[in-house]
Amino acid sequence: MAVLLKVENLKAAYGGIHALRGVSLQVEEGEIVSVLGANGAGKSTLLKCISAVMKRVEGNIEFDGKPISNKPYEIVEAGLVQVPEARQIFAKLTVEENLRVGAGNRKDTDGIKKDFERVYALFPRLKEREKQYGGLLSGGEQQMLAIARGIMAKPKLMMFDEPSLGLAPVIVTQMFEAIKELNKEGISILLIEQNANKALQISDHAYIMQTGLVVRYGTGKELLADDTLSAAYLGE
Amino acid sequence: MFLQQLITGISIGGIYALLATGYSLIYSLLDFSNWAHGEFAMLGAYVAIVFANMVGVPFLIAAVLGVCGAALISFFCEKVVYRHIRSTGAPNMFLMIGAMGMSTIFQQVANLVFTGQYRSFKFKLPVNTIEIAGAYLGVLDLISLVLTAVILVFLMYLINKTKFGLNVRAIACNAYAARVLGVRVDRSIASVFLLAGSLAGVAGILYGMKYNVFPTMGNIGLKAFVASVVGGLGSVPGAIVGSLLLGVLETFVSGYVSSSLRDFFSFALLIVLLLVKPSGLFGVDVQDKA
Ligand SMILES: Nc1ncnc2c1ncn2[C@@H]1O[C@H](COP(=O)(O)OP(=O)(O)O)[C@@H](O)[C@H]1O
Ligand SMILES: [Mg+2]
Repeated sequence: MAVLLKVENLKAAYGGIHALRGVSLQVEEGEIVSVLGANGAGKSTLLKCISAVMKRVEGNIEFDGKPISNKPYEIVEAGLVQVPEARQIFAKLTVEENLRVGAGNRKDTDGIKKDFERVYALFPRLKEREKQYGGLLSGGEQQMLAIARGIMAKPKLMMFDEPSLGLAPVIVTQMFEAIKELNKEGISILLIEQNANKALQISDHAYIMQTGLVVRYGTGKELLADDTLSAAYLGE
Repeated sequence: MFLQQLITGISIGGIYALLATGYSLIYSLLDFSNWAHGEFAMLGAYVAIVFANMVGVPFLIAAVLGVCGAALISFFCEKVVYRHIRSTGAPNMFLMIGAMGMSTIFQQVANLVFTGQYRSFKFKLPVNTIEIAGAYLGVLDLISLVLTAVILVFLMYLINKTKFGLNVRAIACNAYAARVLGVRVDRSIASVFLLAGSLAGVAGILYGMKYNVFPTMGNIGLKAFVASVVGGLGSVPGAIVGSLLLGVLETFVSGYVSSSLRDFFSFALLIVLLLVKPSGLFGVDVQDKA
């Protein structure tokens, strides 16, 4: 399988705080790859650098065989979209408008129409609340909307930043099901999680980060079988 | 008399609305008060004066050039000043201070170049009145009113029905998420400055036609600010309603009480509203923007 995303020796800092100290990882086409790690390990910073909403200090990022752009909208156009931490839906836009912003860089009117049907089929709740303001949705519905909004960009690779955070267990299970479903439909996934067990169960490969570095790498199965993992790295 | 005052009030309110909507749009995107906004109106009026009176082009063309001038000045303020202040990650207070600086600089430059003299367009303005239902209505007021209404309807259409408007509203909700999703945030912001600047230009020219053009005329920006706070900062419909309310209030106070108490009443309205409903008439939760 071809490598879709390749990150090499990525370094990034907030002023004097070195949040990433040389991270390398890759996602192959069709894979689900997770990045796990305790709070403050640098996971969100990693995604911000890939999406180019934060400047990197050093390192290379390639997407789809080419060096990645430094403009966020060109990255989205190239087929790489992020579902950001804490959902960040547009509270004063309707559900439908939120989705239209997600599709903002596309010209294929028919494809957009089909994708509206596709996300409404995946999350029927969103269809029911199509005309409501995003801010009036429940936490779980907002997470569905955030994911659906990302799908509307027609990505090859979707990056999720802790999609299960703050959600009820039933909803969390639904969320992981939806991610698996998207992967089956052909979208590659880079998943950031603190819910290590659930993430590893659906992952082909996983990386474990600690204070700005990758400290473990393996297949989902290998890491699931490793009992020492959570105690050592995940702060559980 | 009443109808006359009402029409005059609405037409003044319309001029405030042209400023207040742009002001509100910029506030909704960048969370700062663009104190230089009134000066865009003043500069637009001067550009029109230069072309109409000194170059001698037909008035309508001069007016269009004035509007373009105001739009470009607004655009360059964003490109040259505000964008750089933002990129340093400085708090929004710095944007506001930058805007105050620009405002003073523009006033001083206008004063240097054009002197403090009151100027009027050397164009025969329609100063006559027409009689409708026993009231004498100024033709200029009516023209101003109709033009403003058309522009504001168009503005609402842009904001609510086009992709440009959708992006602007998305950025106003959450600029970070918009950027992550591929909205060209800086381009949308620059477009809003062009748009707001051109609305200010129209306001400046209409105001200059009704009164005069002078370096400190940009102080009507303060009225637009009051109007947009009354309507609810960041809300475009709020800015329109607040402006009409203020325009009518001012005209009635001038007509029935005393014109020297006009500003007293305007600011009293502001203070009372801030005490009773700080988010303004159409206000979104103040918390929500914090
Ligand atoms: N905006 C910021 N300013 C300063 N430091 C930050 C900022 N965001 C994150 N950090 C720091 O960078 C490190 C990595 O943070 P982050 O990438 O958010 O971790 P994670 O997503 O794994 O919890 C942490 O030490 C955090 O305190
Ligand atoms: Mg994080």
